Amino acid sequence: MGSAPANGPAAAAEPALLEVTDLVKHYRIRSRQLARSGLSLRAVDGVSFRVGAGETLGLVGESGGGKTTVGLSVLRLVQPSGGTVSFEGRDVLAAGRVELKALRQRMQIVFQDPIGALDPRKSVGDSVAEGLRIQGLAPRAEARRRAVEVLDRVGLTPAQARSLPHELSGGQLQRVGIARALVLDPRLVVCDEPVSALDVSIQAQIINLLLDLQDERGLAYLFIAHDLALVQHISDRVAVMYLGRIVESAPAGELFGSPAHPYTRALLSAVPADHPSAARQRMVLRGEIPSASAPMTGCPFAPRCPDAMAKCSDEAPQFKEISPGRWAACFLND
Amino acid sequence: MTEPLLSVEGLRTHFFVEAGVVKAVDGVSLEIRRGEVVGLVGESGCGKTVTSLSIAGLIEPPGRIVDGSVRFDGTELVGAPERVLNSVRGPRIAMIFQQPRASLDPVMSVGRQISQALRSGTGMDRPARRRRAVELLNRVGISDPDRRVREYPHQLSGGMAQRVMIAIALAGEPDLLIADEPTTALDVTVQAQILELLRELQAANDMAVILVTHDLGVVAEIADRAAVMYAGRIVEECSVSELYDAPLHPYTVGLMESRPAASHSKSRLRVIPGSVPVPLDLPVGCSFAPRCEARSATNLTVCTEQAPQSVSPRDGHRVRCWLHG
Amino acid sequence: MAREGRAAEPVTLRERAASGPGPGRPRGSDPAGARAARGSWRRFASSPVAVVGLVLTVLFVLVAALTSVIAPTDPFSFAGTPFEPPSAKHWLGTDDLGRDVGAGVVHGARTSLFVGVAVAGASLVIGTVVGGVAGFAGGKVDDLLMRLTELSQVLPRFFLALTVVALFGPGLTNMVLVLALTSWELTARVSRSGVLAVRELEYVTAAEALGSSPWRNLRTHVLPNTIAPVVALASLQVGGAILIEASLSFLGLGDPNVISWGYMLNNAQSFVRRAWWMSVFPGLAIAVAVLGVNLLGDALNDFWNPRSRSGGASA
Repeated sequence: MGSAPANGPAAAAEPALLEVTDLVKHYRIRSRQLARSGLSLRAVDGVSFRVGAGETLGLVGESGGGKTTVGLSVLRLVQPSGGTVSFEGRDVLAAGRVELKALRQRMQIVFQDPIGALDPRKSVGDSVAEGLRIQGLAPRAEARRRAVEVLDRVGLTPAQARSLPHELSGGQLQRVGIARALVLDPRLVVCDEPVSALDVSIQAQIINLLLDLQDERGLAYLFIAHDLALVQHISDRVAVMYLGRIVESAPAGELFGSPAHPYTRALLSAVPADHPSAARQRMVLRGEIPSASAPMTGCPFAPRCPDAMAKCSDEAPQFKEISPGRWAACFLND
Repeated sequence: MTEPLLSVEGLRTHFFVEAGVVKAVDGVSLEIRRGEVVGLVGESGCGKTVTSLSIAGLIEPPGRIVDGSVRFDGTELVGAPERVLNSVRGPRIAMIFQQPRASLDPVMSVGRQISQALRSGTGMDRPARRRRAVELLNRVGISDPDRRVREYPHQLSGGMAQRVMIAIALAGEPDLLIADEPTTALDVTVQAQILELLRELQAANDMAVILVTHDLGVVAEIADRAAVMYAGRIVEECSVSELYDAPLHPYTVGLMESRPAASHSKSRLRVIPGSVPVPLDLPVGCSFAPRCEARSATNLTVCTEQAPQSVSPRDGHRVRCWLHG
Repeated sequence: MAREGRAAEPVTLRERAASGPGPGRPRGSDPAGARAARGSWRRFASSPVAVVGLVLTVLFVLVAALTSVIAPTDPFSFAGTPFEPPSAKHWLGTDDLGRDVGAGVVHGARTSLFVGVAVAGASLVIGTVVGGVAGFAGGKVDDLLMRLTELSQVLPRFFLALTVVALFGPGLTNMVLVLALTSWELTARVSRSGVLAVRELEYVTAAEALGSSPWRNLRTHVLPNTIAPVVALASLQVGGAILIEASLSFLGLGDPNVISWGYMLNNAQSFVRRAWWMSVFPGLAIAVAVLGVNLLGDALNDFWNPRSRSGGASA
């Protein structure tokens, strides 16, 4: 994989809010049989992208693609094995304890499982206030007051602020998760599948809330999801991940209008139809995502690719700009 | 018109818990014809799963079917003795679930589990069952079935496990397959494979399918008709094309419009305000009234006073809403 | 998910002070907590085992606490003639030296409670610290602490206690020390597995994302959410400790200066046929006390075990 940032040179002119270069995360394999082979799981294998201020980068792909690991690595909630993460010009991965704590005030995360992301023993107001207390930004009473304010902004009443997590619905809890991130007034919020655990009618409420907050506060989002329609709706740019690599990156409209990588095409075609008349023709991929531990030469998608050529399994295609602002790693674009 | 394969009439399934009575299903009527695919759609807590479990006779305490009838091919299933249920459930009504791996026995080989499903009623001996198991695995698109038949569930991927579940369900050549969120736990490319498989098997075997799902897209993919559930009742029932082109119930309209669509990027989505009511404390009148924007626009008072009856403003299209009755 | 870079970092006192309230600090009138407590109490009280265990335990504790009110006399003093059967004057009779059996049973409760609570308390503290640190730090620290735990597990408690008493002489303090040092391994294991499960939960990661240090996370999120089964276990250990103390005293290895149920049983064994009350009442006392704390422990364990929580209907 090349180290060129996925947003291309056009965006490179101004410094990006977040710039990730050649990010790698290997996990040692715990299983005894496999450990002897010296293999490691390459969850993220050379990922580069940038997110500008106030911009939304959508990161899509199927499970096992490494999306979540990328999100956690950006905040250094997992320690990457290689590469750099630069936020507001500062090196996140080299930051000391004090600097990292300060950085985490500027970038936040919203998790997928709204109930699992909240301490079951604390009132949701206390959970929201916790960030202010940790960062030493407000004394306790002040922190509580500001928590109630932010909760009010995301649509929860002061009475609900005193609730325990199990007393609220999934949609309400996800609002709490967003409030907890917002209370520190971050510039970047990593949203890791923020609505996939929610009901359809509630998903739309949360998406609208995220869009409104972005307008109000100029937030940038790294929006991680498997739902393509959703990512397309909320993102300015979209990067598609497969087996730990970004295979294609483009402005949202272009990516969905004319996908350049066969995996993107397969993903788009696998999305359930948005009308029954569109249903009955599609490209169905064979097989499932292989485990990322198998040593790979060539393109990771080649074994499932309907357009695979002989050289695809021998040689990995470069991730390069195929037209202004559009990047892909596929020989078909040569 | 011929007699429907399955006919559910006024089904009520309630759960008697400490906090009160949860009316999970509260008056559901539904007919399924042979070879028909019906999508049972709704959000979590609407009663779609309890409806399907009631049809299959799988409700356990504290739940109980308190009223209504489920007739399958002329046989009444509600209150039927276990012997009758067992002759129907499995061979003639089969079920697959959301978590295929959790539905498989972890210590039994795939082949034995299929073989077990074949034992009741087919009169096949062991080698015959073994051969049939391999055939079935082949039928559901599992490559190298001779090897897979000896494997255990933990060796299967999620998509593969769901294929095995489908093979087990097909063992008795059922007339009705109840598929409860069969692709929700799967990745989108695998979901497409499983839906394709279901469609193909359904057509080849002329099997009726009840597809329980929250995903309207899945319904568009595979179903002929759709029944939309809200708070324990079917609020709208129609053909899938009418569901998409001319939905009548304000809840259905809201659901359809709240899906993000490609055309209006980064714009606000239409939302249904509020959230699904707690089944312990349903509002008087129409359950959807407190969230209904059509009601607030027209100022109908009857909505909060009396529950609407199911009416049929168009042929083959039923809706439970005062705006149409 | 496997994580790296989780090694425990040293915490300065200033950071400790700056990082907010500890888990154990009383929260005043927190409405959410109060509401949760009320609901929990109803659920707890709905189990007959829990109620019986609680009643017996409270009875046991009350008797131990109110010793001087119920039986103000010294249980070693002579209260009447030897071998008086139970009567209005001596409800539970007198022993071979004319001492009041009732007074002995009441004062024995205090001894048993002291041994049980001291041992369980010590094992709670040692076990939680060892297990918590092992689970949270992981890696080499975990390996080392768990080997230590296994070492403690293979020491035969009862014979170690015998040896200590033989070497250093009988005494309540010695006994409590030996039992405490040999009974924390289960607590450590339970605590460690709880920490291992909770530390991977998203709310711990979320707190880390807010800038929380690992130690603050351990204190405010991980330990409070893993302590429940450990406390339930401690309650069971009270019963175990009482039984061992009684066994040692019965063998004549108890503290001769402190009245205890085991000592009374030891004394009673020669007179079982002549004065049944000398053995029956201390024996009953042991049975009731141990039964009470064990039932309570079981009930707490069930209560806090998420799998035993009844879920509502889902659609």
